Amino acid sequence: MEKAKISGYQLFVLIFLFEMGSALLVPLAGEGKQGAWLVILIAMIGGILLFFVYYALFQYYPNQILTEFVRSILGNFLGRIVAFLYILYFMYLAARVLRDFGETLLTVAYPHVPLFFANAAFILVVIYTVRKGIEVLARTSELFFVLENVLFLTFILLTIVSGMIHLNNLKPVLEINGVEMVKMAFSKTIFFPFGELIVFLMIFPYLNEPQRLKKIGVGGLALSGIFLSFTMAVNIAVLGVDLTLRSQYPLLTLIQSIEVAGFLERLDVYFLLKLMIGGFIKITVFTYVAVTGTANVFNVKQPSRLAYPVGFVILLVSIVIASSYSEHIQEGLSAVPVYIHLPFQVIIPLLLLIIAYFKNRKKSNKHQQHKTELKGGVEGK
Amino acid sequence: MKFFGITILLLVPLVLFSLGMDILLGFDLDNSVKHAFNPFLVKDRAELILFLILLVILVFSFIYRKKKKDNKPKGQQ
Repeated sequence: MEKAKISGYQLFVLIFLFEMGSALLVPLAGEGKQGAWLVILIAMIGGILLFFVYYALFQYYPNQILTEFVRSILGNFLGRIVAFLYILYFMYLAARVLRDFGETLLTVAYPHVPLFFANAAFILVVIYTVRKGIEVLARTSELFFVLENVLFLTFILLTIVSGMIHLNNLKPVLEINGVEMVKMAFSKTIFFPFGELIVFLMIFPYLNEPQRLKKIGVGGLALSGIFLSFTMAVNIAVLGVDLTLRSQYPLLTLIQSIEVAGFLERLDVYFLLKLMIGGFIKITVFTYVAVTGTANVFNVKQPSRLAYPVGFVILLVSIVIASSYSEHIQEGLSAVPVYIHLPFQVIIPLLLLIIAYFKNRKKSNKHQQHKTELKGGVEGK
Repeated sequence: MKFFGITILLLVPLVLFSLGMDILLGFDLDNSVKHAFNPFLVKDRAELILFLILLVILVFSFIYRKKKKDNKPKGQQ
């Protein structure tokens, strides 16, 4: 763990941009149809509940990162294996997000560039940032936060001014009943993007005001959830359900159709800027966490030296991961949530929390017994 | 050498992981291996050059170590 501190605001911004990252890219909670925005909000509440699990774990071990306290909870051998699995999980997710953004760049802007080039250019920037450490990443995200929000506000303004929003497209909101919505939210949307907050268990110890963590975490999740839900609602209100679901990048389709006063049009750059900001932060957080985790598990004294090898592995895996974009998306929708997200985001943290609870209760009981014995001894004398 | 070992230790399980995901999607092992390594077999010349450059930097990163600065003040022997 490097000697660095980040402020509460910086963590909030990191969480916000991380959550917005690749979730803006795809039709999030698309099966919810007109109620997709509602499904996202329900998933956000689930995400906040998951955050409380992570927060409780952090409360037990406030000065240790995930790969460290896993060993304190499970013992050195089993703990090391679980920590290593978490590192693989973070790298796999980094590779997935990198592939997402590489493919998007090729589809939208550089159709003749090979995927390897786009991904390599992206990961080199990420490696550079990771070498500089968490403080630089946090400050960068502070800058990007302003830009992202300016882009968001102008995008909303332009959409409204161009008169494309048809609220009738959002009706009937409850075409799918509430139970189905909850099922959708808790089977898919909760894992992506809200459950991915587990990576921050590797970053929470850097916070300089840990007493404010609960507010920061819930605030970051709530704000990003509301933004995502709002964006999805605007997508459906403008494009309608069918086009939103059929479109590869609904937000791009929406931005491409903006036309104000006959000269403000073809704003694709908006989409790319907005996405690249989120994607950069997301991949960098995953890579940074993988680097610190690896350094921690393998006792490496200079973690920055690991940045390049880890980045290179992520680059290779992003190419190997799927043979085509459709296969990549299919894998992300059907296999990843059940076989990868569910165990790493829900099952293992819950088990760790239960074990940590009993372990620490034992400890505090022993501590109290020891105290009363001492007290009794002093009074006896 | 340690860094080389770590890199391999991270790369191999991740590739196996992605092959496993392909198999879960319903491909057989032969097909999923073919899918995984095809992008490396059909590279452009430019891609190949970039790949080799990155590989050389990787090897260099295993070997290279920053020299520690001498703390001895000048003039003292």
